[in-house]
Amino acid sequence: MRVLVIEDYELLRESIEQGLREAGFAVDTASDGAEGYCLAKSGEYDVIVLDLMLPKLDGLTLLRQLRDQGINSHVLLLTARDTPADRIKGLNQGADDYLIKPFEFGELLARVRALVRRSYHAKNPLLRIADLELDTRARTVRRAGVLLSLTPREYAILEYLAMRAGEVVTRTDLWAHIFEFNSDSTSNVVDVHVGRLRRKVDLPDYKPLIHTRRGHGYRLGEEL
Amino acid sequence: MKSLRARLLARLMLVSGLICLAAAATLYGITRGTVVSEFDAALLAKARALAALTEQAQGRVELELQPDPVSSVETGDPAEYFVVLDDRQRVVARTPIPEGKTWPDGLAEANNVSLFMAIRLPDGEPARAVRFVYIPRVEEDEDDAIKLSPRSASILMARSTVAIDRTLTKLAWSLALVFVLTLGAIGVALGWVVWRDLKPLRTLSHRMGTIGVSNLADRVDLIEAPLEIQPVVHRFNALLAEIQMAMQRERSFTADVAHELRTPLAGLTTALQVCGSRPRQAAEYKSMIAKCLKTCHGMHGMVDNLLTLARADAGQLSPRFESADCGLLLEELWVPFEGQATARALHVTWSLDSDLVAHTDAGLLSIVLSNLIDNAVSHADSGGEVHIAAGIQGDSVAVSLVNSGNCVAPADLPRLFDRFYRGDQARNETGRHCGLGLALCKRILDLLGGTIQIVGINRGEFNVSISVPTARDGSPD
Repeated sequence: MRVLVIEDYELLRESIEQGLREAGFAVDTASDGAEGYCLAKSGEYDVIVLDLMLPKLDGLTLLRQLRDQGINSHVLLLTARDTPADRIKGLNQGADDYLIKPFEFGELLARVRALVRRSYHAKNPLLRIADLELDTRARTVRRAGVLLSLTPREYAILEYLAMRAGEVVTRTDLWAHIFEFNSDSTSNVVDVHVGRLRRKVDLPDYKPLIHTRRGHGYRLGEEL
Repeated sequence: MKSLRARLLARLMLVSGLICLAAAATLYGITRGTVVSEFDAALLAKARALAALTEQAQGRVELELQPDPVSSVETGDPAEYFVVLDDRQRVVARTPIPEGKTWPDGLAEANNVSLFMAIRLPDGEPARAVRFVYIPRVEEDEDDAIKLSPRSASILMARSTVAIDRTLTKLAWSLALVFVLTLGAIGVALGWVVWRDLKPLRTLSHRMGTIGVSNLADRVDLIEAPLEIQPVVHRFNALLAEIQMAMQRERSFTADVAHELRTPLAGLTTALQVCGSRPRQAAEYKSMIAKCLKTCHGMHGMVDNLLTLARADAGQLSPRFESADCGLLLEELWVPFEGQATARALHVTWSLDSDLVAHTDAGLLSIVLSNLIDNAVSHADSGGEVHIAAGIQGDSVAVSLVNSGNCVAPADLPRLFDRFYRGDQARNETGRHCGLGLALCKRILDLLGGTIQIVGINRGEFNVSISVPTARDGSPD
């Protein structure tokens, strides 16, 4: 899953970036509203963590512009202003959630994950496809009860496919939601990673769950 | 007497009373004078008539006819006395005295000088007397010798003034009664007028009393106020506006403080939590600890600035004025910023005159200079220039700091001295520059009797200049 963090206070921005990345997210950052808006406009982020007091373009204006543009990425507002009036204003402008500084990082993480689930209409942190079980909280995968050992990147790809289980996911989508801007931009990388993932998930004796649809993309699910 | 109405009424009554009293007294005096002079004239006429009846014959003065005696109605004693004396003071004729009565004092001697005099009759009645010397008529058949140097006589006539005294007393009492009634009427009329005309004051004071902290936006209507009170009302409204703004400033200041402190706190909390969420390399821990310490220093600096500002606001900063060498001060205060200047590759130039002695509080001035140096070094563009200059201008020491890389828009200039206002609303990494520096400098310089101004933001440069007095008389009380 891909997250954009727009926060001008360096220490906070870098800490959130590190924390989210270590939790398995692909993270991009921006230190002012203008840069943040440019990045957010692409619409490829699952969650945007947005600070309200930003230079060049303040958070609420940025949010309003995003919504006017039809960008529906989930937005979590971060701010030090804690009056109900401020909260109401933020939520009315189109934010999905609101966290007041200073906050527990664990809470930020949980809320971001909840917003990701909401994006994919998955209320349950446990995703089950056939005998494949993903625990999105523990970031573990079991196939027929057996724990699989996946790299963080592999887990991320599998989680994304699982969130969109049954759909055909294009390489572009996969790249957008798993890899960060400064990664290599060749689609071959996606194929290589999916290949490695398939070898771990679709073990012999097990029903294949990761299917390739030539010219379109990949699908996770029962064989049709 | 505290009440304006009561005081006004009392004074007006006093003045009216005095005027009425003076009028009444004058009236009485004039009337009395007229009555008495008429009395005297009548008395004189009668005395003259009597004198005309005296004649001198054969060396003697005689009275032809005795006048009819006039008696007092009440006592029966004579009300009118007369005595005619010849030039040898022998009585020619006089009012017959009833048995047992005495001749009144004062009529015994005819040598008194005054023409008219007030005397007392034997029964105690007041009277007035007239006396004059005259030449009695000389008979035709007298000797020529006598005709040439006739003998003189003097006549003294006195009449009781009881009647006119009674009249005058009646007049006095009437006047007194009229005076009292008039005063009473004046009192009522004045009371009504005063009460009515002071009503706007009562309304105004009531209106002013209804405005409090909860309805500071209300104002007192200027139109209803009397002309003399309008400056007061105007000032009152202005004060309300000032209080409103001050309370607003305080509210937003408190909100801003909370916000400004929460940001570095959030940074510290998240950084430490993320750092502690899993085992890490020693180097990573070290780096994180260093970052957090830097943030703590930044917060410390911010809190110090806030405290100083709060103390300045509360009037608790008492500058101790003494001689301070500004050049030396600048050089000392520069030292902690040298590292940052080098790290940012800044080209720093100095231009200090010698003998820059100011009469000021060195500690407080240090805060100002330190803040300005900090601003210059932090906001100059990387690889840019910082120029520090100080010299004597008139009766002040002027210090100016210029840094290249200005990012303040001209439109934002007036707001730079507002608390928590920053040029581009940005924070640097430590949160130290939360927008209090210039506000604090201004506040302190006000206390020291100095000035601060942004000289210019031309050609990408930011130029700030301060001045502090050099002489003792330049400092405020």
